Amino acid sequence: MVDHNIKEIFLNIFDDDNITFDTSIHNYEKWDSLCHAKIIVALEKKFGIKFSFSEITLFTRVKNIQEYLSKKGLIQC
Amino acid sequence: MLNFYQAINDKLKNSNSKCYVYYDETHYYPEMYENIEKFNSILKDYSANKIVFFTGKSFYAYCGIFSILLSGNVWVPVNPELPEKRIIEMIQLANPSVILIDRDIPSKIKSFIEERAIRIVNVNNIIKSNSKSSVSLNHIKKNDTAYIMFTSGSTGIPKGVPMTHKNFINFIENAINILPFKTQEVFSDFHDLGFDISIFYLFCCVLTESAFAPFMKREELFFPIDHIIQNKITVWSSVPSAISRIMTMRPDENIHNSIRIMFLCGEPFRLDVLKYCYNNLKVKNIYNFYGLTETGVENFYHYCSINDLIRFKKKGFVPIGKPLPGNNIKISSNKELLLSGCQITPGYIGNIAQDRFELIDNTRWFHTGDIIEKFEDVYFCKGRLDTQVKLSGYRVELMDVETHLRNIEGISDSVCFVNNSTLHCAVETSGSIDEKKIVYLLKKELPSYMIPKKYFYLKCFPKNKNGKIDRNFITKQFLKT
Repeated sequence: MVDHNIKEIFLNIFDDDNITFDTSIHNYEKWDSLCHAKIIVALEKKFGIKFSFSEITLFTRVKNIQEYLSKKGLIQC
Repeated sequence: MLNFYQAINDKLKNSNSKCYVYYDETHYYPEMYENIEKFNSILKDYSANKIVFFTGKSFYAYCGIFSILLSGNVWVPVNPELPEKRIIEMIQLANPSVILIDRDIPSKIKSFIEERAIRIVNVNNIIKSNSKSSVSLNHIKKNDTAYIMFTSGSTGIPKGVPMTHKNFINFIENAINILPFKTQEVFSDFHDLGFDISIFYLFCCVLTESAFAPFMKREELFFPIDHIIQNKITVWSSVPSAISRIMTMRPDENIHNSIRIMFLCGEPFRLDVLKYCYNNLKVKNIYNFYGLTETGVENFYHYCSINDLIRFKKKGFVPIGKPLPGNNIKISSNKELLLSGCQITPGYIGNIAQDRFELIDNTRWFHTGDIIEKFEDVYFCKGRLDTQVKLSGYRVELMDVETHLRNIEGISDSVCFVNNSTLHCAVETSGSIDEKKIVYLLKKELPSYMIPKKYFYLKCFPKNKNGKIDRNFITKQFLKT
């Protein structure tokens, strides 16, 4: 299940609560570069962290974001 | 033969510099020229023929493009990622002799091509082959078409814009004179090759014996900084919003990078973005260019200075500056910019939209549709006279999107508008229609930048006194929400 914090961020940005693990920049039309910037800013604010440039490039799928935050102990799987 | 192409050919043939860099993958000019000669073994049999280039970005793509141009044929870039219907419309307009591909073609497109007996050649077979043919520049004539690019059309079908060699060479010669290039730069290739900013980096890169650094993955486009740093890009070209995305994510950070020259165009360039380029990206040479596909890529330029932040503070934007040599301007009574000179296209394919061209005192002028205003010694672009908008640097005719929306069952009318650089639409529908279904159907017809991101629904559109749809009322009503 997608973590509720991530769900909330996506809901605020996309006005859509049908986000799944597989939602990605490749299959979700609304997820454009502007929204990507908003997601990164919202995640950093929410979890009080700063992603590296290469990490930002990897966050192209909800699953990747959740796995990263889980590994860092910021959310529970 | 043109001196310009002689210079291009000399650089391609004689340089030993690096010509391509993409992380661990590098290539050098001798290899590029060898591949150009391989492509030429096919292309030498054609002259002034249209060659649709239906491939993604790769080292071999650059080889193919230069081979098409050096052989005196017409380069027609068609992005394979576009919807099938759009691709077919483009191929139909271009009416090519050959299609160069690097992948399997979807069956619908394939049967369309085969019905017209267009020759299909796979790029991978050309590269694998040992067959080569020397390049001869004798077929290139200055008034022949060099390339065809496509813009959005109000009827829902793209417009084909042919550009002659003479049209675009004037722009490139100006760019080479104005920008402080060194040799062995690394040029970003950020946008789709079918966006005419590609003309800038394709030619300036080779003329300075520099390397292409393509952005190929969607994630690289979303956040280009990692790519910029790793591939040591020195000449950046893009729409300003590509920089403003970085600014959104890293507003206060100093980002160490190797960009020396920034070529921005295609959108209004905000002063806060300029400030970020100076203060956070530490770029020294920043240029704002303005132009249209129909008028040979760029026609105006402004060399930015740190003083612009104060000088143009009230305007909030960087000016488009002054016309490039070879371009003449006229401003009509309604403040529309008209352009004339050697860069104006001979006309759209199919001789459509003739009203964009006007003969005044024996000079052929092009109506840009852009409103322009002079401030001190520079010009500012103030918007459009019609319903065209700029989205991610692409000119989009709102009526194009609206036409496709109206074709969807259950939608009787539609109004598109832009808010915060995002395309929105209001649809008139008597029943309920699923947004996902609309997006699904539009994706079949339109490129992703033309698909609205937000949808509003009305049972009946309000009309103005003339009985026309009240676009302003609808737009304002939804912007309030």
